[in-house]
Amino acid sequence: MGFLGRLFRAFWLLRESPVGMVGVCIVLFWVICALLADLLVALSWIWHPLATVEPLLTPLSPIIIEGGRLINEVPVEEICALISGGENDGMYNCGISWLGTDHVGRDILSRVIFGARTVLIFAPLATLCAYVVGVPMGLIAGYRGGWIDETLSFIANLILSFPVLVLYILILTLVGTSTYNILLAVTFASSPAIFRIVRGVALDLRSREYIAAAQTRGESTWRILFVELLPNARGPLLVDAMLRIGYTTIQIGILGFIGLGLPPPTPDWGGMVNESRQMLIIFPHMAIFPCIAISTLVLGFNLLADGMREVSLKD
Amino acid sequence: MADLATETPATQTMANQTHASGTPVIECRDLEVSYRTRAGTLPAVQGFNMVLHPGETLGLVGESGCGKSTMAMAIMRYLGHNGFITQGQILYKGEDMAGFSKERMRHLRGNEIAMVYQEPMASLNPSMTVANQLSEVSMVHEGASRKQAEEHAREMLDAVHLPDPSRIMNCYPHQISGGQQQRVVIAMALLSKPSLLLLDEPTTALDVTVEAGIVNLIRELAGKFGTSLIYISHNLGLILETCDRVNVMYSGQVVENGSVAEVFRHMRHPYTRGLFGCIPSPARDRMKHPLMPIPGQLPLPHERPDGCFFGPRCDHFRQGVCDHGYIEMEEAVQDPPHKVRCRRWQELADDALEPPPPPPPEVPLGDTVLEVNDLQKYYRVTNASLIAFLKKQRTRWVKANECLNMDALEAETVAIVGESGCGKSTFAKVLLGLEEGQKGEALVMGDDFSALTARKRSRKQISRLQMVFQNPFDTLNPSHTVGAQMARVIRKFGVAKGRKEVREKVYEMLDLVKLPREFANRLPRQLSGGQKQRVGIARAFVSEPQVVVADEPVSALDASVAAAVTQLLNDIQRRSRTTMLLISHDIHLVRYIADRVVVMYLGHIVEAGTVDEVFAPPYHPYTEALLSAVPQPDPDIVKKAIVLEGSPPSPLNPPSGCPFHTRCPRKLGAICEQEMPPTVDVGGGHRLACHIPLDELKAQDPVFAIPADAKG
Amino acid sequence: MILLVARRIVNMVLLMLALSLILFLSLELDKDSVARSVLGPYSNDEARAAWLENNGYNDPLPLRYGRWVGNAVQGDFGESVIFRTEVSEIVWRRLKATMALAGLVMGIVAPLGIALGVLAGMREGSLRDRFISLTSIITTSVPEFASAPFLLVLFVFWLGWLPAVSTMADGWDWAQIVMPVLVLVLYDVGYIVRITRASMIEVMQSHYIRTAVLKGLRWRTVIMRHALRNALLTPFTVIMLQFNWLLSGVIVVEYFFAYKGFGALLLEVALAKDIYVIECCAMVAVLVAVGTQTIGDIGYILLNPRIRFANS
Repeated sequence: MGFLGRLFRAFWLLRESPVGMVGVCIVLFWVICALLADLLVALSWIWHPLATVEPLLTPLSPIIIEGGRLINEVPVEEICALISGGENDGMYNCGISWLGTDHVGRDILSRVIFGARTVLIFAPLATLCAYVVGVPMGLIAGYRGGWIDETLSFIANLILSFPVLVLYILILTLVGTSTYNILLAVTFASSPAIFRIVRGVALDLRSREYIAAAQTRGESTWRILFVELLPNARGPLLVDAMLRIGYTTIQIGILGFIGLGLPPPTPDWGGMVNESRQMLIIFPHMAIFPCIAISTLVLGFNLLADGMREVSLKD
Repeated sequence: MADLATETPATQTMANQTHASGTPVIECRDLEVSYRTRAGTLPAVQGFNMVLHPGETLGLVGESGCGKSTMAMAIMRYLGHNGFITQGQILYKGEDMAGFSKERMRHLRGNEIAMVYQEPMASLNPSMTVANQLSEVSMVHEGASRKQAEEHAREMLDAVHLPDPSRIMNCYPHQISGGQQQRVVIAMALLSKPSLLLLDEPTTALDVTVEAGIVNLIRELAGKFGTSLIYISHNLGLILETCDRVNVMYSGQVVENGSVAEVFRHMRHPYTRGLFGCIPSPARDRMKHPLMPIPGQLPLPHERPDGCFFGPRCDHFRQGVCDHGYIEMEEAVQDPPHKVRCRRWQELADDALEPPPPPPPEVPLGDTVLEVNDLQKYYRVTNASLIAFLKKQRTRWVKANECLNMDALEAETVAIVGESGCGKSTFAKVLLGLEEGQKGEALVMGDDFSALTARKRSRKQISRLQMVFQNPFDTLNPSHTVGAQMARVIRKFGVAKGRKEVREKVYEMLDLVKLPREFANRLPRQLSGGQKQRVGIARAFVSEPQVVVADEPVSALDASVAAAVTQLLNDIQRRSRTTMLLISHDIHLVRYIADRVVVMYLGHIVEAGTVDEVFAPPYHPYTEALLSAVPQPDPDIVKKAIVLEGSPPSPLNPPSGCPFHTRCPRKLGAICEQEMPPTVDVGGGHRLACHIPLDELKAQDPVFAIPADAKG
Repeated sequence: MILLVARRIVNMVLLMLALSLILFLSLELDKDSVARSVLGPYSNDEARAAWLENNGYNDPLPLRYGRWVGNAVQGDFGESVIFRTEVSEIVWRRLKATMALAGLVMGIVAPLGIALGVLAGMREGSLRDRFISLTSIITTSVPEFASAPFLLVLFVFWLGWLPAVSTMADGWDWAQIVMPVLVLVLYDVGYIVRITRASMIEVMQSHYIRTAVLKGLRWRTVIMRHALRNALLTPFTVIMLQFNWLLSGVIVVEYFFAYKGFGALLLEVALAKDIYVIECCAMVAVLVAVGTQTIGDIGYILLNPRIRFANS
């Protein structure tokens, strides 16, 4: 059974935990939304700069526009029906805006769905990057101890001494906001926490007899770290990864919310909430739907983590 | 002060009367205790009957998983959220405990029924002083004031022979030694003079010499307070030393019960016999009566067979007789009562036992393979306390090994015996290259290994010296299959190459340690402790090493499994003519498999010689104490009672002179405190390190006096 | 033990020095950007060069750093560009407002989180435990910027109980502080609940709790005397670490509710690149984080008899 097989098994075991299953369902829902975003949105509607839309439609309003180009440069005629007669004669009926539009006329449902794609690419990717940095360092520090451990731990403490958001703000004001930089900042800020977890596990496991057996066999440090130690840390790491993806989702949301998020055309849930701040009194729907989206996705990951912890305790 | 419990006449007077009369303290009738698990409701104990009269001592003996601890918890009504009494009843002084209210139970616990636990350190609250933990008992149950309670507690600490009770009162548990902790727990249990004391493996976590002191104490106190005892242990010897009657348990059932003398002399049940057969005894000739392991392993509760639970492992199993229905206890002897749960007990009279197998042929020993000269190993520790800092004593040395000298021949088994902290495992680590020795040399086939860590050794050197580890739960990596882990060793040492050949070799090794070949695809957690240890043995022998170091290879296993693993290890070693260093705390086990024995105390070798030399006078006083401390399950053996005071000193701060002088019952005087005794050759390579004149040592009686008519 | 405490404090000072060096290097290594930040983006080269010369920026780097640290220790961070006042003055004013907010939040979160965690962990798997655990997972899943609009819509627009912003323009107003505190409490309490619960569960499974029960103590005594002291060791350090987390939440909440606090200031000056205020804010933030963590570590040493009375 390979590593992937066992990873799969960890998820398979989740079926025993109802809480975990709810988490899986929520996360799967958003994953499907993100994967099928283009398809779903073709059925719905997305704003395009060339379309003239009446802004601030409340949920469930019909979208009536005069003309222009829509998603992916598709001419409005191809998607929407021409209205003949009545006060909107000659305009196009593009269906219903289920969740309403924002202050510049962008359909909120479409933005929420595309926002899922953004966040489900960036949060796991950032977490993965943080793991790639944190895990090897944690392993070597915990296993070797001594000055390597002290140096790495001191660096980790340095980074962890900054409140996360302060760190983000500092990094992003220094290097500027871009997709790449946000990824970098998140990796930089999360890897020390992963380092600490892995270090703790390695420290605990290094005195085990199977490690001593590997040492007396003359195995290389590399092999001991990644073949003997790492697989035994997968339980806590998997739980942490799920929690961390959720937490990173929040972080990216916060960055968007305080205006340091992904650059504008990218649909971003935090950014959507920020834009709606001034209009919350009149049009709360602008904020509420992205809020629900981010909360459920994070909840999904948290429940998933909780279920995994529960199952791993039983196993 | 009002001592409610002592004023109740029952306990005091009943103790002196015959056991059969009066209301029993505790009685179990057809008890069944079950646990609700994912696999359904599983009975942990079935059909349990027991009567315990005031002042009586009852032993519950059996291997792990037989349900003996469950019984104690059932009496305490503390079975956790998934345990239930599903059938039968427990009567306390004639009343059914099922009817007791919560309040009544609370009053009973700690007051009338008290308990002593297996791990003293874990049983004491780490953040409360001993005084606080003790005094709350009197305060809760007798309404004593704090002052009275503390006074009472101090008296009790004195009664359990703790030195300087006032100091210990103010200590936190981690500040006192394991033996002292257990005495505190015993004091806590006895504070309110309970009528029933449950002892759940009270000495298992302790060293033998400390154990002997605790056992003495328990015997003394039971007599003094007239308390009835239920003594739970896996150790038959301890039961013999402490109990009047015994219940032998197997897989949730009592299979045999009766008075200790009767059961231990004329055991009827094949399991009891098997149990005795696999325990080393100084009374038996090791050549004529080797250890006889019980084949197979304890069935899990949901795998219990129909009929006799012991059937699948029993030599006397008969199809059609033993494999159906519920087997009742039958009376074998009426007075004193002796019952047995076996359908064939009458056919299996004493002499119906099969003759032991012929002794294995003697293996001729070869040349010297291992030679250790003046090996020394100190660990450096940094002390963080301010005082140490001011005194410039921040770095101190744990003197783990001092001046070790020994050798081993080809195909020979040399045992290294000693209590925890004596440096025997450190010695193994230096040999294995996990630690570096400071001084001296350790020659394996002429190469000095002492300063060569594993990383610096060549593949060939590594393959010469392999290890069998102690803890079966730790010895295999839980993430990889058994086959993969063995294949790694095979490839690493180039024993075989190519997928198919490696697999063949894995199978061959599994065959060698008598495990089914399917095990190659299993993960370690799917194996039992004994099976894991077999894999560990296979792994050690893959590279055909010249020397195998076995560090307590069976100490974590049950007796019946341990015997089998020991025998297997011994067989393979003899057949492959490998030199084995067997590290063990069990001096009697060692007698069965070793050719020579090295006794260590606090980093020093105090005695070394062949098995026969070490087990007969002249003894080093420590060897003598060690031999005497191990409880023997043979009622015919008369042994010298030597109980050592206190616990071994810390190797951080070893005493001057002879390391053993602080506890030595034969201490001569100042010379022992000042001068390190020289190692003297007593003759034939038997070495001793003691100041006592040799003639005096030679005049010692043997530790065991074995009557001539005893079996053997 | 004293040595352990001293070591923590030395460690803290070292950490602060290292952090200040990092901050200094990352913000002031490029002299020109400092001048640009102070004199404005449209200042000419000569003016900037003159300013740099006058303010000692052409001195060697170690000297500049030494001077900077010396001033910082005395609370002198220079003058703010956008506020045109002493940096320390504006930061201190905003910090007081934030301390009030954070103090209120901690005052609610710590006891509430511990109480709920203990109640949940006392009997693992009970209905009460499940309810508290699930609720705490849900509240920690809703980030501050998401719960704020929810609560705003509910309490302000729908029920009309509370004001929509917390600018505190006319002095301190209890009604205005409720929303920010509520948002922060909801998000932060869950973590403490989970830590306390886990710690409590571990303690309840320990053998000494069994000993206490089988001594015949009342359930309440078992919990209060035997379980709590051991179970609260871990949460104590976690609560201290929580200040670090809280500061992130504070930034979001202050921004959302236009509360004139430290977090909003940091964000404001970061976007405006007011370099001296950024330095001061960052140093204060780090000092709070490192300081609380050190207090947590020392507290753990003092509370834990196993360390307090460590045998050699």
